[in-house]
Amino acid sequence: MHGGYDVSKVDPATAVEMEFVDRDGSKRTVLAPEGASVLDVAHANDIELEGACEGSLACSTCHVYVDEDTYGKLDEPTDDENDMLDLAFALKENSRLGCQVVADRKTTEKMEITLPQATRNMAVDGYVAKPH
Amino acid sequence: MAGKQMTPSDVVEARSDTPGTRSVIHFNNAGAALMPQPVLDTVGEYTELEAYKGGYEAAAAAKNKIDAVYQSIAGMLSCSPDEIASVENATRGWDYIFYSLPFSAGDVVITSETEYGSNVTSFLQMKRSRGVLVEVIPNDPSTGVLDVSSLSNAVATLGKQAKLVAISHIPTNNGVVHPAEKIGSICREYDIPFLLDACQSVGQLPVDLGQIHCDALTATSRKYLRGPRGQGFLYVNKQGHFWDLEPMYLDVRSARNDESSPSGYQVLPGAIRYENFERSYANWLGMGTAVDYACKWGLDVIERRICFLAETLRRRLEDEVKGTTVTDYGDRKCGIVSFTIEGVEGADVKAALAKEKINVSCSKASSTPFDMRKRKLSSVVRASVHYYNSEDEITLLIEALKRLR
Repeated sequence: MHGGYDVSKVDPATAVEMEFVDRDGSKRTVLAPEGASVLDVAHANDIELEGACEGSLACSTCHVYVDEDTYGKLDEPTDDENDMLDLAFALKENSRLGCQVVADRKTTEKMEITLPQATRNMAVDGYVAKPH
Repeated sequence: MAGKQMTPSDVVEARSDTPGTRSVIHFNNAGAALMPQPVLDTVGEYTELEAYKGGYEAAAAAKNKIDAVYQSIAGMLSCSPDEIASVENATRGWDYIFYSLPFSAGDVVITSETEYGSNVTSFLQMKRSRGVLVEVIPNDPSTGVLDVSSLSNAVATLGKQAKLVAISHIPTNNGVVHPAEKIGSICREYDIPFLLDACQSVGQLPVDLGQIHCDALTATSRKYLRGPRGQGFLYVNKQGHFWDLEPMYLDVRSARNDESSPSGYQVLPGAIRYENFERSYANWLGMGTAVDYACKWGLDVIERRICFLAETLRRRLEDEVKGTTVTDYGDRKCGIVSFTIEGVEGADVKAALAKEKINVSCSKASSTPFDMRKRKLSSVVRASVHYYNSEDEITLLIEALKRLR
């Protein structure tokens, strides 16, 4: 099941606050279950973040910017993530792949995720993502 | 020169921000400087954005960033954002003002002996088509800069006949910096419009419009500002003679249809009247990044480093390269270093250096006609330094020049 969870079933007591800043500058705060990736959270909340390869580290379409404070607390990206990040549009110091950043009460409370203005959507091994 | 200096680690940072320093030794900053990575990123990313979203749609999405560039430029020059117009290049900006002026026979345009060839050609065209006269103010031989008392005498004598003072702050072929503040004072005192061509000065030294009174200033993105080619800006003083001038070209950006007015149209207020609808937003944003990048270093800090490198180069040319004459003059000099080498044509110097990946340019007589004719020079070699150049690069240039003879 894509997104992996039902927003109405998120337990506020254990959930982690996550703020999304959309391409037009508008902001939305949502509650994320621990362990859910930024990509999962975006999809569950109908925030337009593409995940063409469905989180398999084969594209850069879920590229996001993480606020500087949180960025510093996250685990370093793996080589595989960095390889895909290198292909992302408008790469910055605080760029990460949304499928690799997971909600965690200790490190990502009130994390601010900013969506880049565009993504480079290259077909991945001939796979063309279908609209969800 | 007293004040904050760039440290050795600042220079390392500036050079690592400049990808071109890995492949060329670039002493052609007065032609077009190497762009720093942030400028490259801005131009590339915005162009890509247009490809993904659509050209008009990308401009709408980037509206705040596009508007912010006017603020950045206004901040750098100490003027207001509505006094700034985006122009395709500095020459077009200059033309917009010059060719819109209502010259008639007998009107006098006052200029300097180091005036740029393009501007001189425009004066001559206006002479032929409308009977305008050109008055050339010489340099003061004791200071090497424009003789301001000669300028004063000229404007006092000509009175209402003097319709424009058009002067380049720094010439294309020489390191001299003309006293724009004093020229501006004289123009203000006699109420004569002053068009300042600041192509070579913006980006290498502080240009403060609070100190320099002018009616308009033209600048380019690609020289000392280190922005992309194909972009410039025009400053129009809202208290000046050109604020209400009707530009000779109008379009949907600069004017609107107005059936209630006798002419059927209304020119928009502000410097926007000198803009076109169609423009390169990628280059405008790139130039904006270049302005911010320069202001981050500080124009005074930039000037100090440039002057240090230029003086080093001038001294080493005279001390170490036989047959070299440094042809710069002026009490105040900048990053342009010009010279001749006895027995070697300027074009040949340039070609020989290019083989060693050292970029200089060769400034021909036609680019600075009055001055070059007066000094009986057909060309000078121009090695123009910027703050990201290094003393090691100067050594490599000197060594290569020594090998020429």
